[in-house]
Amino acid sequence: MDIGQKSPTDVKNTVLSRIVGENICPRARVWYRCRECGVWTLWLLTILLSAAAGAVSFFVIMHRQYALFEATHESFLSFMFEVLPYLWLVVFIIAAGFAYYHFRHTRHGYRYSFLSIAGATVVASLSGGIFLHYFGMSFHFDDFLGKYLPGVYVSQSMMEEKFWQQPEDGRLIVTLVSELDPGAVALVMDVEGIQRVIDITELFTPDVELLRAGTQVRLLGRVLDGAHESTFRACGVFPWLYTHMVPMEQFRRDREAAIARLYDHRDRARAEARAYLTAEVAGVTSLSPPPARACAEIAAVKRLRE
Amino acid sequence: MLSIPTSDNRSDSDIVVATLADREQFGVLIERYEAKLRRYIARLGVREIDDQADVLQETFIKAYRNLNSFEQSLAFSSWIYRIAHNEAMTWFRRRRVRPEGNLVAESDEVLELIASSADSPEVQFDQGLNATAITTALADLDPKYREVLILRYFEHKEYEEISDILQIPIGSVGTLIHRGKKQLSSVLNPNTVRI
Repeated sequence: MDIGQKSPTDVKNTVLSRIVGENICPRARVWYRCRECGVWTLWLLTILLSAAAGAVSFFVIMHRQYALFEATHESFLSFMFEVLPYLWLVVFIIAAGFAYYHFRHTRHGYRYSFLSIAGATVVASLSGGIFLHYFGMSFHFDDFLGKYLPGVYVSQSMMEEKFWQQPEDGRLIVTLVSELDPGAVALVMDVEGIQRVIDITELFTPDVELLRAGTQVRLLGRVLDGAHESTFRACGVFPWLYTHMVPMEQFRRDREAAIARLYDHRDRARAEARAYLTAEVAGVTSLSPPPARACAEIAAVKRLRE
Repeated sequence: MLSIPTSDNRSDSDIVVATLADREQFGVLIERYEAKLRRYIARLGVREIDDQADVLQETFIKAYRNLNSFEQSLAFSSWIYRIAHNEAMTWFRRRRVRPEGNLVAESDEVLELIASSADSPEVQFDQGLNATAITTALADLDPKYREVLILRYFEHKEYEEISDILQIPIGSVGTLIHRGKKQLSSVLNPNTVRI
């Protein structure tokens, strides 16, 4: 193969002639700066998007572990399967992928290995996610999308509403309007704006106090069919998860207390039945039969018993 | 057209700055790099002289057009080799041919360099390495390995320069060279090479 036989000046003269003839000029330095800024901006935007996705994912996963899944699902696995923020996890992965791509296309991006860039991208996204979550942005971001993209995006509070606004299954999201008969009957308004009269005779004191606080709460109970109409008997009152930033520790305590009170329904019914049986065996006839404890039979209590 | 002395002692960077003020100065850079780049693109597989001239022209035109993107922290030679590499790859894509390499023989010196630089104990080349055999074997290598081996052993580029030319991490350069040598040894005729 012969190489370099053509006169070297050929290329030189041709190139210089073309530069003159076609009036070719070096592109302005500012063009490259703008391009570099553009790439870094895209990188930053994708990092912010993946951070937002990470933040909402944190928010969902951290809050969901304190949701009362026993009341809404058969198991924690089936619950998590339904509520995992798939969309956000996918957004996180795609945005992180684009962030990697943009960084790789910065001026010196090629010098870094895949693992370094991918690792740094994930760390930056997760750190950004934790930062946004820490300042409560994850809740607002999720809530904002839910409000302004109805039918497209389901926020976590909307999903929780879907689980808990099921009166026929004994779940309601309500705010107390007034107590018609203190300690026995209350008028509440659910999230759909419907006013309902509920039976609160079986509620324990902490539940009643929580209801009386006047904030939106989740109500667990049973629908009892009477001769003329159905009655909703409240068995437990739980704080609404998606109102404000509540320390995780408080969520944990609230959840434990809620579970304990559900057990108490069962234990109270058993104790009353046992006392009545003992009295009957002892020949005490003046004792009236224990009241029917509807709350001892609710699905959540049954699951807890298992 | 201005005549520019070939024995110009200015650095490439100085000439780039001068070119931005006077385009005729670009001729100095063309003179400096034409032969090197012609050899390089020939090694990449652009065989015909006319094709080489086309690729070279486009390389220099592109270099001139993007002169302001050249940064002083990078060696000019790496920068222009990168453009030449990209232009050669564009040429292959347009022609829809696979770069097959065309190792313009640089005698046993290069081959000894490959052998002596083998940093892996399992890749030890025999002293009597056959130039023809290794030329054929290199042409059969995966392009990604051939590119780094050409730059390392035929263009005598450092790892950092290869990283800048091929736009890959320095660590990957080492890995590709190591694997390239390994693949080279496996495709070489076992009768001519002792591993």
